[in-house]
Amino acid sequence: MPGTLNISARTLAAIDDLSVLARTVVEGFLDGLHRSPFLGYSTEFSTYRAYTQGDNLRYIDWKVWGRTDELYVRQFEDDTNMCCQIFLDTSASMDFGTGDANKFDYARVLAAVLAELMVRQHDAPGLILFGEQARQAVPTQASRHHADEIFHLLTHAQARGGTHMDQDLFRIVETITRRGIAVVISDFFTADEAVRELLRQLQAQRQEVIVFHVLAPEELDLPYEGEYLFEDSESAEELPVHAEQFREEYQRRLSGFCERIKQECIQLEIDYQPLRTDGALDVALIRYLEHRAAV
Amino acid sequence: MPGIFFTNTWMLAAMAALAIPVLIHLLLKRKKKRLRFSTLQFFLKQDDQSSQRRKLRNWLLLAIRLFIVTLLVLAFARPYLPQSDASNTTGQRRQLVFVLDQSASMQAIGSDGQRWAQAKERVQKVIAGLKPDDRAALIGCANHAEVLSGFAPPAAAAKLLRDLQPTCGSSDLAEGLQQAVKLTTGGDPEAVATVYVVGDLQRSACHNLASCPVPQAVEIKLIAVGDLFAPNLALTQLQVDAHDGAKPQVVVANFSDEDSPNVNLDFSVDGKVVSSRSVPLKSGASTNVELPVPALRPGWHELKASLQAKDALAVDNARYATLFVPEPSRVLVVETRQTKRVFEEESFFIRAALDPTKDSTNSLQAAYNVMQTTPDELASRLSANPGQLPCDVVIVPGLKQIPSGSARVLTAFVQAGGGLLLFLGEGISANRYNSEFRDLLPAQLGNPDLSRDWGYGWRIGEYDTNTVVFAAFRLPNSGDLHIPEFMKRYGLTPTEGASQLAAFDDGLPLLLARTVGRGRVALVNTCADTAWNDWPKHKTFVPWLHGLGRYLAQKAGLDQIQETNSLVAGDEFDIDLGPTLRRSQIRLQPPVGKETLWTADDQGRLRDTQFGVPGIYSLRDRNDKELRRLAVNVAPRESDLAALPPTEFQQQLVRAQEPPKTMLGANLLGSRSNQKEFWSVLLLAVLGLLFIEAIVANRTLA
Repeated sequence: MPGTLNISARTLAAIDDLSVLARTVVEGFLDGLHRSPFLGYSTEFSTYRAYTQGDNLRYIDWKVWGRTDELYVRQFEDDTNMCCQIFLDTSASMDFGTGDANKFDYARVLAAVLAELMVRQHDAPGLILFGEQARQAVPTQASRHHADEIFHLLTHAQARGGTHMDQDLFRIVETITRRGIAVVISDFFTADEAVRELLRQLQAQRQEVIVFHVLAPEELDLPYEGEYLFEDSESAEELPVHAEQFREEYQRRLSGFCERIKQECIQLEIDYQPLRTDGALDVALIRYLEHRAAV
Repeated sequence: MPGIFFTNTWMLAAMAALAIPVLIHLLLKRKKKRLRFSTLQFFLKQDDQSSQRRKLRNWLLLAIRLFIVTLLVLAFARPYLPQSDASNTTGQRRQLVFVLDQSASMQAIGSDGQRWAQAKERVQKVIAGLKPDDRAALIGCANHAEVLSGFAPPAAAAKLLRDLQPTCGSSDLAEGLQQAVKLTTGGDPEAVATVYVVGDLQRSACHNLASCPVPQAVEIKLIAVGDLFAPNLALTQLQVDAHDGAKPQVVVANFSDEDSPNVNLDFSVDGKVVSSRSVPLKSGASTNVELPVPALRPGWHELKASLQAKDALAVDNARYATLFVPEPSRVLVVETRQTKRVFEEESFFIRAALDPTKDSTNSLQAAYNVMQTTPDELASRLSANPGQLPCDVVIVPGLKQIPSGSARVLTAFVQAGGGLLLFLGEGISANRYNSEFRDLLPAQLGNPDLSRDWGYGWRIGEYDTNTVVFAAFRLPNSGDLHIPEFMKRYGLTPTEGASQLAAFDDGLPLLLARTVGRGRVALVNTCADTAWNDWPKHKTFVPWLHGLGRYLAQKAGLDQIQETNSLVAGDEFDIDLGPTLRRSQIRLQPPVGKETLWTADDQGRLRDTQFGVPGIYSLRDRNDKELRRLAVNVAPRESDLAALPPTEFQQQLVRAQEPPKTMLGANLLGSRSNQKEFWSVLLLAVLGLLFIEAIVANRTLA
């Protein structure tokens, strides 16, 4: 059973280099795994098959040919260089949550840890940031330096603007031609249709999608008392709200929202994982590895 | 449509409390905490509506609270709706009381005519609007408030009003209001009571309003006539009481806001103009004008000062006074050294002082008729006509030899009512004086006392200005009695019953007096000429000697003159004619009209006399001998025509606190005979609003 990874905002603030943090987390996570079913990476013999014209002569097992005078080709499991796109929501709504539970910090660490994990599995992680504008921050590539580039970008990323899952993002999605894994980290505080469209697009591009739905405990519990003037972090709209009186209705609406996202994912056969930012990070990593193994 | 009136108008200042709910509203609004939240998409739809509802609720709460405070303040201000004329047509009977200002100021004529005529016309209009079963009462306010007519049918009140005229007195409207309140409280309790104050609302007539609380139930209405400011010139005082040393003078006042550069002032004595001059008067100013009173024969005289001015009030342009000049006192002066050169005689200064015009052919009679005699002839002169005083005062200088029998004659003279003035002198015998004049002297003579030289002598220290002897020196700067110097004097020991009228600066008596029988004796501790003192050379000598002469002759009358000049038209007063006229028939001759007959009471007084018209009144006995001449004038305060604005009049009125009503329903409705209070309704509304406020404030909206 892997150990729990509690990453606090104070830890993030203390460790400027996100790469150090990500590697520490991944190593600690991997050290905690025993008899892991996920060690299938690298070049590993699978079976023999009869040589057919056009096969690479490198994979002919000459020892079998000496014994049987038959040409057989060695087959290996194809487990390397899986392209993994990490979609990180950088809208202003992600910059919410007090102290350790800030959503954006949590999401950044999650993205960094996933990237480190991918590199170690010889996968090729890529980073796509979407918020006010969508951009392919780092293209997929499997190398140590490439992970550093992702770490660097994540370190300097800022949450601002609205959540726009629009044509800019969809055009980037269309450029993903190779089959792979897409990890979407977002609070999905945008229109339901846009979320659905994004997931469909990713699936259409032959991506195995994992959705990490990140929510802060303040969003889930609305732990405020009295009357507040709520200001929307994206639109700056103001609204007077009596928190304790509206809490029940709010939670009902939020649950409905989350349920809709989940149902969308189920319909599209997409893994959906809600994440509470005051919860453990390893849940997400395990979910990823399970998914990776299934691919 | 009548307006809303308030019993406690000052309570409206509490409207400032309206700021309290506004401040609470603003403070609460500011206290709302601001919170940056990730998204408002779960709040928007319903909460936008609830926010609007919340805003609406807050504004509603604010409005309710403001309304509550407003209603509370209004309720404590005790508003009431006076019943309008229209409301009276509903059938309720009305009782109107008209308090009519009949003071002299109502004779003033302004741009709209005479104030009294205007007032009567407007009152007649109100009376004409009454129904036959309504009632009206009239109260006249002159020197006293008087109920002219109790509640009577409108026609009777109108008839009485037609014949009413203003007086020359001064009014106090508070007295009239008191009478009106008495009338209304004793009237029909079911009728609507209204008091109309009719007049020019002259400020001097309204100064006492706060002393007359008016019940809440009585509605006060005003019928104000005349202008707030009316230009008026007036003579406010005519002073002729010369015994204080002051000269006769008249006070001219300008009660207008414009200067009057040339006002003609005439002064007449006994109907003849003796002086006419122009007086400049600035706006709002008054000035004293001295009057040249000529020498007058003994008897009563009338003085009149009059202004030739076209102003609002004519009745105060003339002022009257009377003056009584007594018959001259007969003074017998004893001369010890008769010579051809009269100025060397011992009594020269005394005779000259008492009768300075003696032997003049064209002069009027002086105050003293001086006769002269010798010490030897004194007794025979005094006893010439037994039973009759040969003179009023005898003046005796220091006698070296006292003729035999003269002391006895002098004693008899004084006891019969004569006056004796004794001087001391060189060569007199103190022992002889003490023994011969023991029944007369107010002091026992001691040893002579001599100063060493001029410049070291004694001077007058204290003197009694309350007596007629020194009355001429009462006013400041009327003569310095400390200047005369005295070189020689006698030690004096006052006898029992003697009074010291003046003393030297070391306390030794200078002038002593006593009463002997019906007469008076005065002893001057110096000589009659200038051998021992220099007083006869100073100005103070003559008025002092004249005062001493009046004191010894016991000439009364000057005080009576002052009394007879202080009468105000319309006032009631008693006239004391003396015990000799008790139960006598007295004829009173007014300045206009027929004479009336009065009877003096047991003390010789005419009780409760009242003179309505300013002018000169004469009192005569059965033999047509003039006993007294009286001057009656308009009250000076009537001359200032400045009036109160009606609103200020209403503000000065004080409402009386009334006992609580026993009927709850009556309290709630607040209906009274002539006004409708509705403070209780307001309080009920406050209660209702508080209930609503509690519901709205505690309503939980998301």
